[in-house]
Order: sequence, then structure tokens, then C-alpha cells
Amino acid sequence: MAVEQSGGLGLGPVSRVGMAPQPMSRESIEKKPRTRDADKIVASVCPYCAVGCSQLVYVKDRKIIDIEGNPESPINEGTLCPKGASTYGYLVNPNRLTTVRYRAPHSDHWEDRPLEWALDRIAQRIKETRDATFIEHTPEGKVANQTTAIATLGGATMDIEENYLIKKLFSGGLGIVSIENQARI
Amino acid sequence: MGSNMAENHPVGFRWPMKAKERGATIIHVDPRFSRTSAAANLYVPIRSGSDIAFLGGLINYVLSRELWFREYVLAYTNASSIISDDYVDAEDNGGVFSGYDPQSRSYDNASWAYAGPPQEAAEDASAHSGHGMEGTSPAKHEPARDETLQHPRCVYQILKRHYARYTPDMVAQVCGTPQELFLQVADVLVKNSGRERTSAICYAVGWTQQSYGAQIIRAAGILQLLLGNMGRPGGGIMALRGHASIQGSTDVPTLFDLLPGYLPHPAVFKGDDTLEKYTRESAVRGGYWSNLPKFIVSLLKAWYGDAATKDNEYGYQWVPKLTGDHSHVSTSAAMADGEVKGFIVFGQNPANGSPHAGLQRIALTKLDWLVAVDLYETETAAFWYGAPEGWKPADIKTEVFLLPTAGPAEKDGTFTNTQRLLQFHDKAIDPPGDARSDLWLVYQLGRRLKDLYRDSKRPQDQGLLPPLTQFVATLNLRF
Repeated sequence: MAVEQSGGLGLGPVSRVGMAPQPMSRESIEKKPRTRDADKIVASVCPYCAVGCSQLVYVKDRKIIDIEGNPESPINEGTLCPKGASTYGYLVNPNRLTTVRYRAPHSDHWEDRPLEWALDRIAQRIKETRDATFIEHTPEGKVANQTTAIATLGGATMDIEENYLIKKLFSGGLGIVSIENQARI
Repeated sequence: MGSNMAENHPVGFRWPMKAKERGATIIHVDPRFSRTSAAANLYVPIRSGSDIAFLGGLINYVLSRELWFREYVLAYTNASSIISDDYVDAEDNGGVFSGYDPQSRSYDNASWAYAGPPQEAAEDASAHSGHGMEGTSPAKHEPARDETLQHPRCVYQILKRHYARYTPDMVAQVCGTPQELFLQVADVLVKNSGRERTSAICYAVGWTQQSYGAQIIRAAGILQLLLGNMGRPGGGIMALRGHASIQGSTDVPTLFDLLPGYLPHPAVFKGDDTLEKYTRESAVRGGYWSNLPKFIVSLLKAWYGDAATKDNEYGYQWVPKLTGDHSHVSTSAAMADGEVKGFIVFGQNPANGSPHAGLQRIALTKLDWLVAVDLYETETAAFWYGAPEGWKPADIKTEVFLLPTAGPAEKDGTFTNTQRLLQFHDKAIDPPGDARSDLWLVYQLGRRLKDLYRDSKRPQDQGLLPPLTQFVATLNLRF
């Protein structure tokens, strides 16, 4: 929309939509969608249902400023349902976890812990439990090479690559059999 | 059927609505009148749990009135194949099919195989039945066929006899559906079957969350095959998946009974103690699954890299062997019995969302350690102080780690949506604070575990040492 000053006619600002200049308030002229100043626009996929609507993520100063439907997608043609339109609030939210929370056995409170510490400790716990419970054979002498004492359960908003690596590490690497997903539930 | 698509997949529902504008008939069969019903041409009420009777009625309608798509059925289905002498239908066997074991309350389906040499028939039946193999299970020998469909034991005649009881009267009684409405549905489906027409059936958790959901889908499969609606544009049976990548996590999969790509998971009870036995058990002659021996070796090479050699069965022994049902529900019961010591939960909330959430919470108290990975603190992570049972934290021994993770716009990756379209999502920004993607976290745990086991000489620890890092590196993802 072209906006220009009306010169000496005293009409204030006008817009050049249609055949004749239209009067327009200064507020209207100064208003603009916040997405217009985005540094970059990144294509994403809605994390809710499985229709697979494409989203555009608007980023400014390394922060998400808005998420909208992607008009180029043949699935949603720029639209999003109310749930998909709330993706912004799901990602940009003061209630999100930003530190590792740790609760010691029998403790009544969370403690913040460094990420590296937590990863070391979890790896240690996995190893201890696995070593104590791994069976090479069943009581009948059949080859088993597994442990049933550790289980994993994943949600279905995880990436294919993540699922692949979970199966590879925990099943193929460690011999854990109970690897499950929301897809079963 | 069994879906409220208008409200739960609203953007997807635009397309049935567009089809309706162009003359398609939308039928909604559901116990509840919802927005989907309001938008449909025809709302058909049905009693909860009576889906099989409804579909059975449609199957009987097309079979008994000879309204099925003859050319299609003869060319693309096993209607003419002849089934073993040993098969006995439920009608002639006191309400159960042949092979029923009342003790285990399960079927040995050996007698359901195609007629042929008895030994081979038995082998067919014992073949693996993973998610993907079930239903395809091609015969090891070419089954005898009767193209005239007159043989009393051909699939067509067996179906016809079995479904004869599903009369419109019976459907009306069992489903509570007015008979004229049921007949209207049957008429629409038949009118849209043929060379120029197709119909699709869409379902959601209204089917799958019944204990015999797979049987409902199979009944729909029979109907769609009889009408020539499978493998043709506009036809098919569509699962309306509820989450962004339910399909992807099923294909890859993080399910206990499958390896990636629908390969059956090796199991002690299937006698899979060597790679050779596993491939012999699972191999079939003809069709896609005859390549199974190649698929499994490819997978093992992808997992174990150079450590997978012919001499060590390509690392097959590092793949654990199942010893039972390790599904989520069974594992939760084992956890409540104290048999599971450690539990890792990625973006999932069993204390709130799994069947029998009360048992799930009790199960969590029996763990030695719990790792919850999420964007927010969930009921699962908070069970030790926030459970409605009001437990005292001092009484709960479980060590709990709650790791912050990344959302989809904070990492590269792919989802497979409900129509099996694989879509990439790009990383827009870094996740906040110490939050990391699940991929990063699993990769870092893998690295640490490799370090912990580096000096081990035990054979069961060697599967971890091959190139876990390679996988992530070659993907070239920003995670």
C-alpha cells in the first residue's frame, strides 16, 4: 500500500489504494506487522497433530518473534488451526525449563545441576544398572544378550533421527529391549 | 469412522470439505454427533464398540449381492487362493476359529495357511509377524487357486460363509443403527466402487484404542479390497495420526517388537539365536519381504559399521533378543513389581497420559532412577512431590533427573506426517539455557557410555564401541 503526504491540501496522510487517495490516520500508517523486521524466516513443521502443516518461524536478534502458517505448503496453504497457531507460546514461554533439575533419593526439593554433571551421572547409572542385570542367556540356556531392567519411552513429537539414534544406542548398543513410544499408546 | 476429524485435524479436514463441494459424499459413522457429523452429508450413529459388526454388514452386503469389483478382486487379492483343509470357521467350531488354545487364550494360526505341503504350511504360520509383516505374510509356496471362485475352501467362499450372518437386521440390532441409514451407506460405497470411482476410509483412535483395534482395521481392509479401493487414487484406509511424527516413530522405530523398517525384532521365543536362523524364519519367497536377509545385514552394517563382518554375523549377537512382551503397558506392570530399575522418558508423560496413570505413578516410585527429558516440568518428573496420592518425598527412593530439551524450531530434523510425507524442519534459533535437543542428549550419553566401556573385553559391551558418533556426524544436522 503506497502512503504519501497529501501535500498542501490539508487532508493529512492518504493511501493510494484504488482510484482516489483515501484518508488514513497517522497511527495506521505507523502500524506494521512485527514480522516485517525479521532477520530471517525459517521453515518448520507444526509439532501438534500429524497433518503436517508447514510453519514460518520469524526470527529477530536470535529470538522467535512470531510463527505463522506457510503459504507455500500444499497441505495447509498458509493456514493453521488454533492449536498450531499457539506454537509460538509453546516455544517462547517463561515456564520453560532452562536448567537441569535434580532430585536426590528421598529429597523433598529440586536442585539445579550443571548439564555435564547430569550427563556423567546418568551414563554412570545406566552402566551400573545394565551391568547388574544384563543376561547373556535365559535360564533355559537360549541366547538373550539383553536387559529388561532399563526402559525408554518417547513421545511422538520427536524427530525421526532422534528415534533412530535412541533405538541404535539403547537397543543395538546396550541391549535394552523395552524401547517404546507414544505410537504404541 | 472413529474420528472427529473436523475438530482434531481441522486443517486436514479442509480437503474432504473441498471434495464435498465437488460432489463427494462424506459419511461420518460415530457414536457421538460432533462437528464432523455436522459437516458430513450423512451422519450414521453406531453403538460404541460395534465397528466390526458395521463393517461386517457392509462386507456381507457386497458379497451376498455380488456387488464387489470382480476384475480388481481377481487380479489383486487372494480371493481365489485355497486354504488348508485344517481350517475351521468359528461358525462350525463353537464360536472360535481352529487353533484356539483356551489356556493361553490365543490362536495358533497354523491351520489358517494356504493349502499345500503340510510342513511348509506350518512354517508359514510360525513366520514373524511384526507391524509391517502382518497381513502381508506372503506364502513360501504358490498357493493353489481357483479363478472361478467356486472351490468351497477358496478365500472368497470362506469369507462369504463367514460374513453371511452380518445381515442388515443383525447390524441394526448390534450397532443400533437404523437399517435404512446402514443401507444408504452401503449403497454410496457400492456406487463409488469401480474403474472410475473410489472411496477412502479414515479412522483415528476411536478404532485403535479398542483392545481389538487391529481387527477393525483388517475388516476395513477386506471391505476396501472387495470394492477395489486399495492402491488406487482416492482410495485406501487412512490412519489419522494424532502426533507430528507418530508415523515416523513407528517406521524407524522406537517400538520394542520391531527393528527399523519393519524388520521383526529377534526373539528368544522365535528361536532367533543366530542370524541364519533369524533370516530363515523370516524369509519369504517372492515379493518385497523376500529381501529381508539383505535388509537385516544392511541395518547391522549401518549400526555397527566396520565392526559388522561376515565372521561375526554382522554384529547380530549385539542386538538383544526379546524374552516376552516388552511393550509400554507390560513394562509398566513390571516396573510396579520392582523389576525395572531405570527409566528414560523423552517428551512423554506416562504419570498423566498412559493407561492406568495411577499404576504408572506407583511404578515410578519403584525405580532406582528416572530421567525425564522435556520442555516443561511434567507430572512424570514431579511424581515424587506432586502426585495426587499425596506421597511423602522422604519415602520415595527414586533419583530423578529432569533435563530441559529443545522444541522443533530449535533443531534440524524430520517428521513423517499422517499421509507418510516426510518433511524437514529447520533450526531457527538455539534452545534456551541448558536445553538441548534429544538428539544431542542421546549422542552425548552414547559418547559417555562408550568411554565407560572402552576397556571392557566382555562380548556384550562391544556393540557399543562401533561408530555411534558417525551416525550423527553424517547427518550434518544442527542439533
